[in-house]
Amino acid sequence: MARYLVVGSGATGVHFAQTLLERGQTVELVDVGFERPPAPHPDADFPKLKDLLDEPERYFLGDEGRDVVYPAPDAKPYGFPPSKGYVFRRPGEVSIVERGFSPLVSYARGGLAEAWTGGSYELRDEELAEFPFDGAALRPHYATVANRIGVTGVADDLKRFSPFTAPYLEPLPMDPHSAWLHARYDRRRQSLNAAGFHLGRSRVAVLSRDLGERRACGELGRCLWGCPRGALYTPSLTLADLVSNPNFTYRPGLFVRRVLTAAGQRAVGVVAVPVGGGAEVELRAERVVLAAGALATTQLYLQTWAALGRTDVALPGLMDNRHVMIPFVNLRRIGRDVQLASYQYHMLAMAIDTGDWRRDVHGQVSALKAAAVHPIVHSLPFDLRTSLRVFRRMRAALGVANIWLSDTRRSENVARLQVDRDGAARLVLEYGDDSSDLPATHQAIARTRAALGELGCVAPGGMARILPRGSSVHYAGTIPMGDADLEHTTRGDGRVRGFDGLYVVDGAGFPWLPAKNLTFTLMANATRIASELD
Amino acid sequence: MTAGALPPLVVTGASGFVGRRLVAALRERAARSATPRDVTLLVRDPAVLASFGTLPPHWRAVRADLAAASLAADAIPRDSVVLHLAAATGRLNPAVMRAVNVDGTGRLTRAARDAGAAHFIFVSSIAASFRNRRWYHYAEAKLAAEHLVADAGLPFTIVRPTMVFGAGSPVQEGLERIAAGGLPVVPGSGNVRVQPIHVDDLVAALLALADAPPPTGATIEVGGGERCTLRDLLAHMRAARGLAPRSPWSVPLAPVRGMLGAAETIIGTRLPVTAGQLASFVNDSVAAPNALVDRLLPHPRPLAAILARPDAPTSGFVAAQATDSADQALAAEFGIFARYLGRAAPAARATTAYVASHPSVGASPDTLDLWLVAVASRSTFGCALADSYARLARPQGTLRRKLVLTLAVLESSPVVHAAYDTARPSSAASAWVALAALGGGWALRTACAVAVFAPLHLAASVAGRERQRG
Repeated sequence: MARYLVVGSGATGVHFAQTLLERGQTVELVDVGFERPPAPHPDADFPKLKDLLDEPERYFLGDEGRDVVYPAPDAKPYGFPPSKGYVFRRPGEVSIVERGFSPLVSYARGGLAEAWTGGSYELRDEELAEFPFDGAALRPHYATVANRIGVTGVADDLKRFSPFTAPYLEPLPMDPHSAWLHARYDRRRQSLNAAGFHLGRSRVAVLSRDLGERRACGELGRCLWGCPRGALYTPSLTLADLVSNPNFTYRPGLFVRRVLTAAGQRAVGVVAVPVGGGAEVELRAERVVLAAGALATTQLYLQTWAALGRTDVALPGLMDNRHVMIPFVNLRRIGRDVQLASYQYHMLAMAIDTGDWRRDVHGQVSALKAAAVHPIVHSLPFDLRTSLRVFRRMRAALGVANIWLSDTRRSENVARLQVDRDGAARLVLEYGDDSSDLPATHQAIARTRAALGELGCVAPGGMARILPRGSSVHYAGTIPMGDADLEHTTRGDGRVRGFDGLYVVDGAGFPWLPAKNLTFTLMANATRIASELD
Repeated sequence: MTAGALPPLVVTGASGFVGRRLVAALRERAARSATPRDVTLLVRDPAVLASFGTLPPHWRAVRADLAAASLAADAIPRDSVVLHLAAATGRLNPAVMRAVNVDGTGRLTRAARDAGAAHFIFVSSIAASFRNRRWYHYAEAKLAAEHLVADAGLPFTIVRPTMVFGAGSPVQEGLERIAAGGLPVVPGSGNVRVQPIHVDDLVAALLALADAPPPTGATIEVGGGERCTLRDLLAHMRAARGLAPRSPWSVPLAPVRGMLGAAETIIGTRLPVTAGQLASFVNDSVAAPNALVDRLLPHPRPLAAILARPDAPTSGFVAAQATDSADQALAAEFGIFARYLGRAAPAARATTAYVASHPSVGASPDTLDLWLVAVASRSTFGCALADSYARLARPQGTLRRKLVLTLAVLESSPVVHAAYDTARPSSAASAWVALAALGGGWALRTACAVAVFAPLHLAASVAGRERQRG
């Protein structure tokens, strides 16, 4: 029997496990573990891939065109491709009631970060004000994670928003559009900074040099479809390394229903069912660690209480960053060419200083490079042929700023369980207050559009879209860390109050949600907890 | 020179009416010949490559937009023969005509000279010899391009074909419509003289010229085996179709051309025909006799052979894989949609992918939507109108979904994807001009679409309400 049983192989699970293994502990990791399909033609770039595949239409559009992005009121200008289908596949047992909240959950090896875009930003000391530890406690673990996964970055104007303490790799060379915007920012820095706008290089978990068996970014333009070189970090890469450790046992194919408890609410293992069907199994360990991702961990926690007779537990404080997508056109780049074979994701990041660090806005600015074209083309206001021609002329000029606002724990935003008559439990996610941050959201949109205007771009107001709550995929806050001895909270070391031997090490434990990509901090925090356990 | 004794050949305009036949003839020669020949196809739009299938050994395709940018350094091999067929034709404004036909030819001649080409063959037009070229920007552009070629400082031959006929010939199709149309008219006096040449004869002459000894810098006019008046030509066309003879009335062209010319200065080339295009009805289109042409093409086809009903153009897109009539209907509509979006017939594999992916489109019970699909799947013109209206009235309807699927398939398909998923680079000024033209075209099409479909929309709404009542 392993000492630690970790549920979930996502960003927190694998780094928690890795730190424990480095400390000589035994770890068993259990999850559903849908597998990533092998990347075809690993050396081919995006355009060449279409020429080389036997069935490129199926690879890019899915069986029977299921992944074609059709016009719809809420259609985004992109879709997740079939090759990422494994990330969002749900076992039959999963049932979520969504009220004002549209979540993504993952049961894949590596979890949701299998589909992330790699943004990695350290939190400022003040942003940890509500956490039961300070920045000094977290910094070494940012460094540990950065060394493990490889994060590119430079100390620039964004340093004041995100400290630059971890060892960062040299950034990738910028694409021409991003470089153009950056140069323009350099020339107009004074006025833009005076308006609170700051621009710099994205910090991204992508390799600019080889690391172990992972190869540096080859500029294939296949980031969205799955980097075939392992240059863009995903947690399944760490998992693949861990399985060779003799102290590590990986148990995929199991859907964990709840924590198994003994007298005194002592966690002694988990109850799981095989994904393909079959009887419940019990897996035992000295300590149980929930790292299934904030929402799945919340469900496990609630179902554990339900098994103890408490079906009425409601967890307030569900959080997700407000996410706004602001497309823009850089008028000076109309008619230019676009290199499709280049790093596909954002190379620039931005921040808006609001004068109150709690309300600062963070974002990423992406120039359009390789992409599925049809979702963008049908969003233009012309007939499709004209739209296609307009798009091709303007392609080099297009980009999008994705901005996020911070979120706080509020009593209206609740996770709870709904137990049906047949005993089946469904997770209810109810985001009751989706409006109190709307004025701040509109202000952030206006300031971003104004800054883009100063950078020579036009960001039509009608094109900016406030995405449904749940879109940022930064979920947190249901079982928060804190010093106060309250029910349904955890201590700074991850221990869940009211239980013995039960830990929460993922986003469910975050008491506040800064307007930043969370994953780097999630990994650092899981590493922190694992390194401090006795 | 890497293969065989024949000089390398560089061809522009391979996707055009003459170019397609020329490529087919070259391909046949390549299959028959034991000595391979280097052939370079300079193509603006890689989508056209799909229609060529796999290229023979020693052939290559190089992307080159003559109107936009200079050529890649290795596009033209040393000592090659350049066959310049690419041209902008039809209803285009003078700026585009000039950008492609004059500036583009200039770029190509400079590149050919710098690369050390052995012979530059410029396929011009008999229109360059017209005395009355008023409003005919195409003829002006061709003449200007001829001067550029002659002054470029490299061995050249300028070839001016007369009207080129054959399956798929735009000019023949236009005349056939007049000949077989309901109105017994002939544009102009009908007494201008014509000498149509069959496309395969022109191709034979061009290939013979390409293999001929070093040129003398000649300008040659190439025509078919028979001359006649336009009035006689239309009569021959009726006879070839088995239609009864008739005596057509003359339609005076001077006022029509005047009105069109005036309109074009205001709204551009948006009417179905331009003043310039009517120039063929007021000028003789016959080739001046030339000894070189007699050697290159000793036995051009007579008119009767040219007008013999051609086989229907083969369209490979109706895939063999379409197993039942529903699939065939989908394959047929995809052919229309693909031509509408990309101006190119899709490959069989893309058609198969469209049919296989079509379940994701879903069904629509909406009457207007069904009508829009019905109109759109008849012709590219109908598709343009229906799509324009659908964008306004049914932006998420079935027609739009079918068109989005078409685009999604085409942008994913081998080779052709580049015509959809890449940028179309040009100078900023050209891009802005193109965007303005696209905007104007869109506004005009949308206005037409509203005029056509708004009454249908109203009728569909009334019918829908009637059904609900019933």
